[in-house]
Amino acid sequence: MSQQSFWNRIAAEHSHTRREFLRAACGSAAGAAVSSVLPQRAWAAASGKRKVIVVTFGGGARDQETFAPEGQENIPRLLGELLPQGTFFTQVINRGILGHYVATASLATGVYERFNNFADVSPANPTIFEYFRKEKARPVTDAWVVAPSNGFNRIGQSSHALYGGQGATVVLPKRMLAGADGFPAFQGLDHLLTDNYESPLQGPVRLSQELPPQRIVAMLNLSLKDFAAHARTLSSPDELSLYVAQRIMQETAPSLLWLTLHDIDVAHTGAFSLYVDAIRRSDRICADLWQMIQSNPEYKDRTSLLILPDFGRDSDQDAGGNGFQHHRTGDALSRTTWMLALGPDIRQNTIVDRALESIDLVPTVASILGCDAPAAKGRVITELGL
Amino acid sequence: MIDFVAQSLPQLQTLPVPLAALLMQQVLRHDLMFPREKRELEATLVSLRLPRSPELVHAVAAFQALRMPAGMNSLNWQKEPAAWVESFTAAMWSSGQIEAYRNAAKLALPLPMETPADMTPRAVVVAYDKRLQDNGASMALFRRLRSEGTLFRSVQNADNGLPLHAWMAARAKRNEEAYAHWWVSGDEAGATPVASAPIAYLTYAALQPARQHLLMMMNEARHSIGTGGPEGLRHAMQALTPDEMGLRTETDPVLRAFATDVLVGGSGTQLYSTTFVQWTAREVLRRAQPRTLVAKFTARNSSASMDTRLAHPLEEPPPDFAGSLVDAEMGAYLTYLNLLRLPGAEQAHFLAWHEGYGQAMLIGKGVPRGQIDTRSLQLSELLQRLT
Repeated sequence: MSQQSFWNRIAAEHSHTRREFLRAACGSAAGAAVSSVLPQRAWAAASGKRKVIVVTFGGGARDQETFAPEGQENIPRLLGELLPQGTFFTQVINRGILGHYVATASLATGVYERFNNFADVSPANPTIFEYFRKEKARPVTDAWVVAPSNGFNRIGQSSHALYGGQGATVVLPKRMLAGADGFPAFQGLDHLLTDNYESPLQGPVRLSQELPPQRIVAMLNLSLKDFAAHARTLSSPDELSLYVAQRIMQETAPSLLWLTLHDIDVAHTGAFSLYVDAIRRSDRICADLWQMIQSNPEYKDRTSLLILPDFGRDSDQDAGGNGFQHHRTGDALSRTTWMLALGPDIRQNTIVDRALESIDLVPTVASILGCDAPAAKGRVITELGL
Repeated sequence: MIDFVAQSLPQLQTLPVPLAALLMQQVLRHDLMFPREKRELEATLVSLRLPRSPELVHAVAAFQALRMPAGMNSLNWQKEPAAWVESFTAAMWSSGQIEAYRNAAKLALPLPMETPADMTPRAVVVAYDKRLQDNGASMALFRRLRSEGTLFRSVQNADNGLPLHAWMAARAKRNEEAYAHWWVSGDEAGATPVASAPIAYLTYAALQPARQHLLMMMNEARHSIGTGGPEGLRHAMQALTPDEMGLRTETDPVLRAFATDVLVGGSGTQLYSTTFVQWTAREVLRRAQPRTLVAKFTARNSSASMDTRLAHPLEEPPPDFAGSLVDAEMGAYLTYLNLLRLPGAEQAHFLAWHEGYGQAMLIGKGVPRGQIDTRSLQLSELLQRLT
């Protein structure tokens, strides 16, 4: 048992690039110079009809449980159905704070936000929702966020003075099943109210800016009772979020929809099987969402779907962490993840190995939607043909 | 302890505060440390005296180079080093210095203690309870470990686990160093003290009253005004004493403190036995650096929301045998990695054994890598190779 030879072997395995193993699995093409060969987007003239759906995995997922060879069994639909239809970016690096709320806020602003992850605060920089709504003069119903409840109530609206009241409509599905005290308002739905796995105190939030649940369900053409009845048929909070996203798409068909999944963060309990189960569930949810897009005339052929974890999780090799359980070391694996992009003009079955930053998302989404994101620090992802 | 703190403080005061605070956390715990931890801490403090090695000069400079965030002066690193370190770490994240902080901390890690040549090589056994079964009963075991050693496909255990306990007791009698032999388990089967064999036992089952008490305290805290949010709760939990935790059955103060650390500091150790065993094994290896460790994974509770578990701390959901097997597989792998981090790892042996499947994975000096052995063997025969 040689310590050094073991670590050397591990390093060698990691140097086998993601592009190589994915190409081996899928027969995908390289996308190094995609932007120069893409046709002018046929839908460019109809920028007012473009739609974007962003899905983030708000519990970081590692390579080895997703796109690495040993993890591919957990994502059969991402790999078998979606990747052949899209462009896969093998390295998306998050250089910010690795807490889910602050990292998601950074994804939404294009700036690495620096606030306390557990604080009940809005992002300091304008969000993509505000850029889009203000510049395009869109109503509040044209930008939605569906998110877990632990602190995400302020994700849709920054504290930036120039963008007051221009944020997204934020839905926290679990809140719709809870009473004013944050505890279940309906029998038998406790399993859908799981909010977090890091601290028992990060529970019900005071929702000063949230729309009342009754108003949300009315916008979705539901009653709270019907909503609860449907919720009883679901097995996890993320499935509930998908259901809400589907209702939003059916009832208001917004141009910008942001869905943050969170079941994966069960990894913090240290139960590897629950973490893997949640990845498999996220895989199904993403594939189902893509099918919903294709079967909805308001979305079909005009929607870009961007899927990415907010960051990774700690490496097994970092002695300061405990493998998959947390994202506390800030090591390379916890900062590096991937993105899958699908859409009418996005090259299919293509793998891009260039390193992106997670803050590149906002300028890219802004470009798709035809607006500017002046305070965002990231860069437009040119491989998407923008 | 007061003597040790008083003796160490003048030296700590000469160091950059972030390094001094990290060390002060350990100095305050000196009396409740395992012997190996004590020796490492004492050696680290000696090595930090002037003149320092070039490596430690570099480490101290790396701490010195960190920009001190505003507001840290209001915290007292000497009296409350844990709170100081937590605030400082948060500031390192928010100021983008976390990488530099991590690197500095790695540079200042204690040098591994030399292992005497005549010391018994380390041996770790990870045992899977026979009830841990995949739904299809066809799961390929030890996949992450197979390239490291030999898979034994037919391992019988005629005596219902007794060989494992007898093997451990024999090792403990040969080397009677305190806290050098550990039995960590989800259940209490086999956790029977042996006269004259110094074995430390820690089981999820025996800690049930303390676990439930802790969940009750968390539940009360989240309904209280002024708990200070997640950080406030963490501080309150860290300040708990073993008595406040309800750890009444354990009398050894070092073990009581360690058990408290596992339950308070380990995420999920209060909820799932598989997490408890994996985390405890990790901490035993890291801190006690034992000669022998048996870590037995038994079935954890089925998944339930934290809200439910906190609101009903006395109720434990039914077992999840299939999920527990997946947890045990990862737990065995992480335990192996943690063994590799210890001095003398090149002499060590590691055995993972599933009682129900009758399969075992043996890794260590002289064991062929990537091999499969189909002979029918007794567990006791494999254990003989772990001497």
